[in-house]
Amino acid sequence: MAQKPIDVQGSEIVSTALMTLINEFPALNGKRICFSTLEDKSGLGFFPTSGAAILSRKESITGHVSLQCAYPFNVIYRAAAKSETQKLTIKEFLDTFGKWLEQQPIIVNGEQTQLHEYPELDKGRIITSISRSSPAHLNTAYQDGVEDWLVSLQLRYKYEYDTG
Amino acid sequence: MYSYSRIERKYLAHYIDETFGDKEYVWLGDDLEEYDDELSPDVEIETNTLGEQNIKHNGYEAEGDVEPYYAEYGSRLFRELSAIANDRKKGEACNTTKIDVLLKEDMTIVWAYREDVTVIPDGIGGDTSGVQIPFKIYGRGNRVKGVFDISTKTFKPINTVYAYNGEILISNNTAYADRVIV
Repeated sequence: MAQKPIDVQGSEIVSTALMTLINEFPALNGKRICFSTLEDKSGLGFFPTSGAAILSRKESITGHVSLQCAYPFNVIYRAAAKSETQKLTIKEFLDTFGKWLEQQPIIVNGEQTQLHEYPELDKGRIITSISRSSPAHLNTAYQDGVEDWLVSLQLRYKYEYDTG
Repeated sequence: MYSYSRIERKYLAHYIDETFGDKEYVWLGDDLEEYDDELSPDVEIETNTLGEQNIKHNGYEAEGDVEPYYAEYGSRLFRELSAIANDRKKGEACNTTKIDVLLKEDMTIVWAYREDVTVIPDGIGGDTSGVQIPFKIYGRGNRVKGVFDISTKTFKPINTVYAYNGEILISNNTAYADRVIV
């Protein structure tokens, strides 16, 4: 299967915007989601998987180009969860995180909250949706009891520009 | 040696008077991957007993389909189209003019024609991609060749003045506004 072309500049712009957005998740409670980084036994990390793939390209009769792009990424929660309750809490945290990015209402500390707008990217690039491609699940279990829980998401955006 | 190359579609531009009378032209087609002025020629072919064909060409019924057309606040064309659709306007209220322009890459004009048209919306609505108000453009004739200034979006017909004997007295004249003198 032919590999889809990548919007390289868009990938960088989306990575930067997403890092800011995901660290505004109201249930973080002081934690920070780091870019492609996890500590040995704990941490929250944001991992882009393949860059922003161009799914479709349309050119209008006026030379106006509209690209539909998809930027897949994972968020990994690493912890040494000992009990079933702790594991369930991690899974719920990641599922709630996904719901929040999907602009669904969530309950944090007894209050309902919701992400109403996605951040602006740059001129011409607009986020159209963020959605989960899998529910949160246990991805890796290490021998020392440390586990990586993962939720996969996909950000979609459109990029519009005029040809010269 | 001259090299032949295809003309990119964006160099055939279609402008419509979005005010429906004040001759303020807007470039059509940011949402369109394709647009054709369908000429729909009215042709009758009769074959006689000798097998010869007699072709009777009665003219054209030009029509163009602008679909999709996404509504945008601030667009005069959208305001006018929605007024036509909402008030179920017909007749004169739907009449405007359209200009077809072929450009070169350096944005000089190869040719430009203006035509009287009637614009009729097909509906308002669409899917979740946005509010759409697709419409059709029906040619009403009075198609005149002219000079189009792409920066000011103004059109001046090229008038030709003939003598009674058919001799061309004035050609390529743009001094007379808006009338072809024949």
